[in-house]
Amino acid sequence: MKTKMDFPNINKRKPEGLKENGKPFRVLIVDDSMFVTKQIGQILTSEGFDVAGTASNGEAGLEKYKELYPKVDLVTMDITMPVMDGVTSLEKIMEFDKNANIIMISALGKQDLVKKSLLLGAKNYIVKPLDRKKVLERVMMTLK
Amino acid sequence: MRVEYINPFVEAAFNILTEVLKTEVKRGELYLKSSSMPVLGVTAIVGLAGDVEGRVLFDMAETTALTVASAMNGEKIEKNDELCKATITELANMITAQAVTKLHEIGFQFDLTPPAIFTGKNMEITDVAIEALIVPIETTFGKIEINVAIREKK
Amino acid sequence: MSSVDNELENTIQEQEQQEQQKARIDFKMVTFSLANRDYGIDIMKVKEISKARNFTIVPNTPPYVEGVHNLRGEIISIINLRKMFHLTFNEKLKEEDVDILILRLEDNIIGMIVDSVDNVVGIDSSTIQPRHPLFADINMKYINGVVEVNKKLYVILDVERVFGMEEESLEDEVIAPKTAPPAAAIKKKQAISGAELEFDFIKETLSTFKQFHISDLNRDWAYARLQEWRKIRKTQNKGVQLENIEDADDFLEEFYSTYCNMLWGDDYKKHVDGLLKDSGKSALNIWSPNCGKGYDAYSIACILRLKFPKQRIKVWASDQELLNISAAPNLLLPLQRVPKYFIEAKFVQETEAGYQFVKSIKDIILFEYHDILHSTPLPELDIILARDVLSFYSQALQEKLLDQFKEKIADKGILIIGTHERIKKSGFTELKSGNIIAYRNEKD
Repeated sequence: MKTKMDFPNINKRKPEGLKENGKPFRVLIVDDSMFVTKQIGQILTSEGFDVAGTASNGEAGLEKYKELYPKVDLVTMDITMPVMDGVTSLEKIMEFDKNANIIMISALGKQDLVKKSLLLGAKNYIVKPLDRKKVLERVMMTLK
Repeated sequence: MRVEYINPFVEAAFNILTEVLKTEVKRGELYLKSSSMPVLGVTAIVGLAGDVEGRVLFDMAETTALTVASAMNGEKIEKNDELCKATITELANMITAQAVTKLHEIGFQFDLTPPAIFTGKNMEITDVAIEALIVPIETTFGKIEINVAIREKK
Repeated sequence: MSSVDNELENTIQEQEQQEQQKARIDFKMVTFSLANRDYGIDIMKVKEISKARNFTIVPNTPPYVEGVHNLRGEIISIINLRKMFHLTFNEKLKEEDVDILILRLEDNIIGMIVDSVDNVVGIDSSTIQPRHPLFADINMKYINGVVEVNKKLYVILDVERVFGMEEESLEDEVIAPKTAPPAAAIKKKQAISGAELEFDFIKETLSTFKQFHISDLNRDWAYARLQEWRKIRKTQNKGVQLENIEDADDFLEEFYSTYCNMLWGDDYKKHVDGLLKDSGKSALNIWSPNCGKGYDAYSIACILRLKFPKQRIKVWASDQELLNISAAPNLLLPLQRVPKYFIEAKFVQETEAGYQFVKSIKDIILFEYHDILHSTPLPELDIILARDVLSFYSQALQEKLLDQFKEKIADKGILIIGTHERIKKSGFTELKSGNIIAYRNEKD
């Protein structure tokens, strides 16, 4: 009689993008650059996150957030965008949902705008250029 | 161009390109240019405002742009499509932003305006009465010329 | 001017009588070596000598075009002479600096890679022998002739032919008869006096080696210096002519202004003070083009601050040498190089590495990396400091720059130039104050 071999699970690490219940965290990416959107999307998707939506300016971002609510766990928000910039969008989303998890993405570090965002309720910020390690670190910091 | 403005741009270009392209990056000798400049094929422009007025151009051949975009996206990009343009624009933005951050740290208030990208053959950029600093950068993907023109506001 | 000429002429004639050789130098060439052979090129055709590497390749050009080179903003073609003459060539061009002769041909500027640049040799053009079949391995039409100097044989290259600037004629393919004369241009020189020729050669060598151009601005000094130089060289048993860059440096040593590359001493300050009159303006604007490390700019800023404590002072200082101008905003000085008035007025402070200017002085000056041949937007200026600046531009550019200066200075504003420079243009009144060379602008 052949017994089914029980191989131990060597890779014990669970993808970061999954919640305790096994369902993925849902993320909204707000950025006017197709490249950055793709980059963040790829990093998060590879770690099990679900990119629930994208928007290319602050106003579309606000609309999308309201649409996805309450099934949205995290927002990545670019600071410089046309129509409505990231800081204004952040402000309006925080008005709508005071528990929103918003991470600012900026090419300008230590700038007044980043500081202002944090004061307005942004949970964290990431300075470009983005890499996998940086992004995942900050995202996990925010979600815990 | 004011002496203090030079290093932030040179360093930002070197740092970002090295980090993002993950390849050897070498800086050529800086020089000044005044006349209209023939463009290599793909040029991204970021505007500067604040204490000064001016702009930064990132100029490269189309083949270089494709190779750079491929490296940044982790996949082969064969046409100068929307993704390629967005990638090069983002590169220009990151370099200018880091330079602006460094300038901020030494007391100069600069702002960026949203970038634009131009492609074409035999283009020329003409500035009226503004001198430009040229920072030639050699990478294994090709040459990238950074062209900075800044004027003090009176 | 002609009496100076006569004097020179007499001196030269005297010397010639004393010398055993009767040869006269009426042709100067820059010599170089290529594949173990020595060549010479008419110095009038040589713009400058340079070293460079890593030329930018240009596709679809002949194989001997090594590429292009950026010479201070101008893109010039670089020709590999070895390749052009079908000799073996060095593959390692990318890794080492090579010697280049920058040539001025018609309207073109071309760089030519040679094995090594030697020195400037003066000859009597009548000693040039016509082309010899011995040199048949190089295309005969490129050779003007050959000449022997100090047991060395030089092939005189017709660079215009080499780079295709002249029309080719079938006759040139044939070996010329022995009586063929060298280029007609050389003959013309024999009609000019010996003194003028000698001076002309010094002029050419200074411009080639040091980019120093003799004109109305500095001719008086140059003539006087030549007299002095002749005496010095005689005692050293050397010829008058400038053979290399060291000679050119020595000749020019006496040109540079008082307190060149230094902060101005108390004596100079006193004279500058004497020049400055309170114009009643609330702000003073000063320009210091090609300021180097900024010594003149710092000096004028401090002197003005002392004399006019309440006025707003702004100094624009620029240079096109990146290393120099980059050092200017944070210029460090050893204690012994700082004249007393700076220290007494507390314009400098002591730091670990030496003395530095205090913020209130640094804030007065805006240092820029800038080429003054490009347009310089500035408000109306009260003072322009251009000591030893104009002399390092060609005569045409000197005039253009002087016009620019005149336009930019306010009426009755001051232009300060080098100790050995003089302006002979109308619209400027000479001002006398000690050893300062200054002119007041008179706008009509």
